[in-house]
Amino acid sequence: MTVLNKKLKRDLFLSKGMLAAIITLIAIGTGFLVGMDGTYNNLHNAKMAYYSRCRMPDFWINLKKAPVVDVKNHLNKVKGISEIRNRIVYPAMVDLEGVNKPITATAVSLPGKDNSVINNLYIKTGSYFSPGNKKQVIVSYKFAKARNIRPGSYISLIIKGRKKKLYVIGTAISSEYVFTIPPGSMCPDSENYGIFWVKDKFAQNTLGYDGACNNIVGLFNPNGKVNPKLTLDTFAKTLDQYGVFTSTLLKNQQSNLSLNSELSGIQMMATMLPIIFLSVAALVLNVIMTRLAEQERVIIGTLKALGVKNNAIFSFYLKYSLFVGISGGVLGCLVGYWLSQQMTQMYTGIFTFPHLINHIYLKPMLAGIIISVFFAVIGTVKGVKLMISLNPAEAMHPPPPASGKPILLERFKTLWKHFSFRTQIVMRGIFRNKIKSIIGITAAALGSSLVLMSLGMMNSIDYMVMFQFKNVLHNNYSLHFKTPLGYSALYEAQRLPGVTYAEPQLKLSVNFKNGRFTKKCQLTGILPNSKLVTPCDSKGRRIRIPQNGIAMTKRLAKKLHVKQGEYITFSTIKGDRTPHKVKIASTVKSTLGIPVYINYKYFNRLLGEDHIITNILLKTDQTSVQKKEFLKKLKKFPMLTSYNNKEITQDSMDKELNGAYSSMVYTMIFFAGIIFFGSILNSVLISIAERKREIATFRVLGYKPLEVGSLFLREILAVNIIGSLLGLPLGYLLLFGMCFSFTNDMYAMPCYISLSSYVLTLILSLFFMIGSYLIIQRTINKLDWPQALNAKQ
Amino acid sequence: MEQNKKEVEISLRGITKTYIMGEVKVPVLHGIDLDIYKSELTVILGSSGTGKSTLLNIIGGIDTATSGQYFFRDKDISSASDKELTKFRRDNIGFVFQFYNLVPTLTSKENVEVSTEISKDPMDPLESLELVEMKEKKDFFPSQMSGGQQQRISIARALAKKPALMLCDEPTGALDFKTGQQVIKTLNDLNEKLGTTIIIITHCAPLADMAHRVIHLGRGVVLDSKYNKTRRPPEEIVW
Repeated sequence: MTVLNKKLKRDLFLSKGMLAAIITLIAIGTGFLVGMDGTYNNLHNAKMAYYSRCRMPDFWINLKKAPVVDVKNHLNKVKGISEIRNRIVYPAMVDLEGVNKPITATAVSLPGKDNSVINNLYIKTGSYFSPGNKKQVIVSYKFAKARNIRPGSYISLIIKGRKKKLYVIGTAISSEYVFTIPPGSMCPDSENYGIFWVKDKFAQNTLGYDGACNNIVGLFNPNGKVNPKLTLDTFAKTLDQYGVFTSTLLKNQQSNLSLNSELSGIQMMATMLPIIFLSVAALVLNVIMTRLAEQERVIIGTLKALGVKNNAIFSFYLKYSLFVGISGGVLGCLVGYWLSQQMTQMYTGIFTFPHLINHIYLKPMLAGIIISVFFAVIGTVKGVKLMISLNPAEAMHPPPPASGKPILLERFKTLWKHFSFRTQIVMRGIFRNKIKSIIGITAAALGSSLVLMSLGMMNSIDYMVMFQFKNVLHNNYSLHFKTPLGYSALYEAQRLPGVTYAEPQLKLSVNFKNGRFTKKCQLTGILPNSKLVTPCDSKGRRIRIPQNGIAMTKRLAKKLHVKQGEYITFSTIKGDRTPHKVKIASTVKSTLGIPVYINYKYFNRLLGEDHIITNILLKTDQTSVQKKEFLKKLKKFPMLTSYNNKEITQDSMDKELNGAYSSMVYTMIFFAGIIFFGSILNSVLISIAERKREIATFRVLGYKPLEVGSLFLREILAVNIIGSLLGLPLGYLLLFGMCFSFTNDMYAMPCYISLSSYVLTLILSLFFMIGSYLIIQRTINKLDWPQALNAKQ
Repeated sequence: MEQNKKEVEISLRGITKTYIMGEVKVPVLHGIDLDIYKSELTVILGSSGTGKSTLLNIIGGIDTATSGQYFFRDKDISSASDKELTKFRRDNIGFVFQFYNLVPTLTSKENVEVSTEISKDPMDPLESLELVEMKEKKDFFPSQMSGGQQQRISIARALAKKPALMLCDEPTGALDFKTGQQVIKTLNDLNEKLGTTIIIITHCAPLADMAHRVIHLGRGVVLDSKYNKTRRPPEEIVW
């Protein structure tokens, strides 16, 4: 019917404000679905394409030194491996011109010729190695960019204590280093850590590895992929005589693990957030569309009286809901595309991919549109069906007055008497429209939970960083050595300019074994009364370092099936591998990782050593001149492989983590605001439309617009404050789920929400409530109440 | 006018209506026996709560009787299904409501089109508007017109589909005297010019003077039915 189509167009235009609110709510829900799914797909596809292009290895073996020929011979004995590549991976330092401090680096060898080897590079600028000149280097792209290093320039690397001047032929990225964390650090620091790819020949000559390697990467054939762990263990065992330190499967490789952990986090958000938004949108939409249909009761009755068929009336309202659903869905697709664009952009700062581009994925878009149309239609069908089921005579009359029975609260007379008249009206309104109130409370709960979860995400990251830097570490610098050094290194470090105090550490990779349960991890030997490191449990209490025995985290003890007071054996991965039996003196709950602590002296004694050191912690009090001199001397410190400056690490963590996540948090808060506005405006605006006559009557009685508005304000506050409070535990649960999805073997993401975040969540919720109320008050002020009073019932 | 020469348009026998509101039963009509003749203008008079509107709604097929028989010409309407009732209304009935029931987002002409679009042989909407002298207001929305004007649009909407029967529920109920007079004049003209059968229900006794026949309703039964010997022109009716 063309004339009904005209009505449709005008009705849509007239209800544009409310439509905008509903459509926005649906759009955000669909937007999250499309956006998060798009981000996941972008990252996942980029990862798969990158891994395939660069021939990402299935495993890594790190060993002391093995002749290449022997490795190949051993390979022939193992089934399940299709191809391997031998290489040399060695810690290095960069001596940059004009930069006083030494910069940590890793040198990785590659064949001189650009063959399609396993773990190949993706050249960003310049080129691969050219024949001839041995002293060529390809620099990791992010470091080169941060330090403005261009192909054609020269760079000095300190490898094994010797300074080598190398010609920069290109810059590149590698699938092995999608997420790069400097040794001893907790997060990426592209300015102070770089990867340097050098020619195999150069590495062999410089490091004394002629015809030998210390690192093997390889690919499994289909047989090997059936049981990758067994295949790798078998191969590693054949190489045991060459001192295998670690053998790592792709799933446990640091960069891949971080990437996968992020992907699983996104996947969880891609499921959780759209559910939150779409369920709110569906609930609100259902109520709104039902009430809209009820408002059209007389028109439906008249049309029926005129002889318009039920189907025609039905299809008219169906078009209305289709418009809402399709508009919300399509707008949601646009919002989603924007969201995935922003998120993908954010991830380009965290992960290094050759092509991390935002793509359009039709499947989630289609799903989003179908879901939003579905909910819109369901909402309308329910309401219109009710109206159509009435006979025209009945429909043309106003609905019978709502039940006037006392509400539950009224039974508690003493309490009820304490409420003012207006509060009593509001209470009755809330209790008599239970479904509407429950939906309002649910929407507010989801809104505030989203705010709290987002703020909590920042808190947890801050907590993780602050916990480590304020509670645990009290040093200014930490020095790391490739091999253990004698105690004299500590005296030498103490003599560095501005150093007020130095403390030794013996940190070794060990293999814990309890029957068939084994776990590789770091055993940290510290002084029992250490001034520069305070190992803490999850509550921030100092972990007591036992005189004899070890202090282990509960998580690790559980993995190894051991309890406090029991004994366990460990053997060092590098050097002498004699098993040592130690008592588990205490088990502690730790927030970060799975650290195991041991008394420094006891550790030395167990190993039969006399005060050897792998790390030195320094406390400094330096003038700028002293600092300059300190860093200069550090460059020449023997056997130093890397060092950390606590301040710089903390800054870069703040920058990298908070910077990346803060924009996401603001977006989440914005979206939470939309939930509040959408839910409140939809509900109250339609209430105003339904209660125009009631409002007019109040005005006739002498109520001021603000006094009438205050009735709505009280209702908004009552419903939404209850909802916001309920949203707090829900927000905690959401964050808990989120943290859990980010947790892996390497680290546990703490779930921590500060008191100020709870307060801020409630303040923001209140802000959204008041904001919505102001819009509503404006509508009440502008209401043509004399006309409303004259209108028929 | 003599009754036996008239063609019976509507025949009601033993019509009752009881509303059930929760546990309470409210009987409204207690057995109405009534015939309505073609081309007559009938006024049903009665005070509030006597069941006038209920009776009109049953005649118009927008409500159903609890018991009794209702024939429109030879068709049994009392046993009609919802679908058949819709067809009956669409083909035969024109409604004029006390509060006009115009669609607020449609113009006068479009409101009339709501009716003409579903009719088999309708009038041109403009012709219908002209009959109620509202052609010049064809592009006005209900909110831009007075009550009387809106009621005339409502009449135009009803007559545009050339209904066999026009049912008017308190057509002057929401109007002032002068506007009300214009509306009843329009209805009278339609009856005289087009021969449309019209039933007007009202509690306003003076309106009875313009009818061919006046039926008094009280407490759900027909109290009295009589023909006016002389009909008074609407212009002379005062209330």
